[in-house]
Amino acid sequence: MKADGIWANIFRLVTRDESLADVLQNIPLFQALTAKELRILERLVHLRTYETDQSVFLETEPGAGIYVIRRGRIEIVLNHKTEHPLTLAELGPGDFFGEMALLGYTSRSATAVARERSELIGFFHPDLIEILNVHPSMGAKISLGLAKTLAERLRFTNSQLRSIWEVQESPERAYALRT
Amino acid sequence: MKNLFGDTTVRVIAFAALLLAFLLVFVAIRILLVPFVAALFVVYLFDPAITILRRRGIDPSNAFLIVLCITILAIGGVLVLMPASLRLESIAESKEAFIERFVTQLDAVERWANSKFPMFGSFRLVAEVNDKAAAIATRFFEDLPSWITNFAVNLLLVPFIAYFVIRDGKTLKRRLIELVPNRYFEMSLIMLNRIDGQIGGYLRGRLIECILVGAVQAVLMGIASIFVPQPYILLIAGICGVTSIIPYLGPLLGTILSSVLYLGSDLPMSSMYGLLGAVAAAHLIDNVLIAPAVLSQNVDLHPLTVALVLIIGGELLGALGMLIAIPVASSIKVVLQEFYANYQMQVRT
Repeated sequence: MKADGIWANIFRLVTRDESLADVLQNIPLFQALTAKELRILERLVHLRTYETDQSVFLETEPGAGIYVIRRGRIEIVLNHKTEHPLTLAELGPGDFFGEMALLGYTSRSATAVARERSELIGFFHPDLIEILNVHPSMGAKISLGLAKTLAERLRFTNSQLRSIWEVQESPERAYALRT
Repeated sequence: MKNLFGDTTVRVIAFAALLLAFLLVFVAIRILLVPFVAALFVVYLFDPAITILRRRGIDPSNAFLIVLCITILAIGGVLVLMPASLRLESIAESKEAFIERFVTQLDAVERWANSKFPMFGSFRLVAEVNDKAAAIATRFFEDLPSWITNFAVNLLLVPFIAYFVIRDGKTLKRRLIELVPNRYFEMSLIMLNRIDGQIGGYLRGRLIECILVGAVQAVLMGIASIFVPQPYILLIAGICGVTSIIPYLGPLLGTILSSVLYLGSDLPMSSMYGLLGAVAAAHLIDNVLIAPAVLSQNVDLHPLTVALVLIIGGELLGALGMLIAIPVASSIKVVLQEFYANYQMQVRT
């Protein structure tokens, strides 16, 4: 029998073993943290379990933070509830998503759906604010990591836009460059 | 392996246990409401100081104990060093004379009001006060022992509850959040955080407002004292500061208490005018300058809503109800806003 809703969360056996820190320290946001700081982070993050086809969050829904995949597989989809959903990415253990909402309560730009039973580590805006208040140097490291990640994504988006622009402006030249 | 917690019987037992726990919590809250609310006030007010100490690596519960000790020492120091004239001892020593002077002054006010406004019929302030005074005094002295006992118990309970809220509050909040189904998890997290921020900001804003109102009142009475005698400046500034924690009704309550103090003292009527002028000016400065600066960011409630929730709070829980009415109303507003936003999002998709 499938346990769902509130029951699944009441009776879920939360195992916060050491591997939680192992997963977190491989994420660019938390790579600069020391072992002690990772232990502090471990106490702040939320461990959530999602069943197959259960949505983590929906497009346009207000979001509060980042999810790191500990186990399972997550699909990032645009226009999820329409006839023509567009899969943007399929993520596995060690991947993360939703980092834009960590800066503030912004709308989710896509839907995230669990494609198999998945265990996610959630790190949210209020937790980041608390870290910045109580452990400023740790907060600075995470903020810098977040800035680097967002800059990386922006650089990638820019290069994609440049490719599209080049194809539109001069298809022959773009073809020649590619070949 | 069969899921042990998947059985319907176990679920029913768990649900009954949960219901019983909620019932027990509700009964406990009914009994402990006053100290619990006071403890929450203390927690929110102490929070910035505790955060500063936590930055230095001190444990939250130890940080609370340090801040509590400093606060107790500061209050004790102020009480010890405060001049006797500010402690109402002079009034307590001659309460008969105080009541006599109060009735005489009230009689003068009554005669003045009757001569100036005959169209409103005759004011019978003194007769009304004399009629009600005996009943109020009897009830006051009957209730006094239980008030003192309750106050003493609450005084001990408040730091005790606050200590545990500081120590385990965050863990409890996390456990509660963990119980929320995945679908509403992030929404609940955002909601709780916004409520927390609003209540904390409101209470801290109110405290700053109280201190500033008290300071402005003291300065204005000091200015008034150049022209007319103005005794008990610090005491009245304290009364006006403390009562201003209740919106709208607080300043009125402060004015009435200060006026009673002046009417009972051996002072000319010009002192009373000076006092009323200072109170009115302080209230004006509060409304125009202080309140918009310290409260505008915290609670976004319409003045009519504020008045309404104050009346409902007062009806349900008296003075305590008026004190917690606005934080509770703003929390309800946040919950409704989040649910409405979620509903709209579901309609759109």
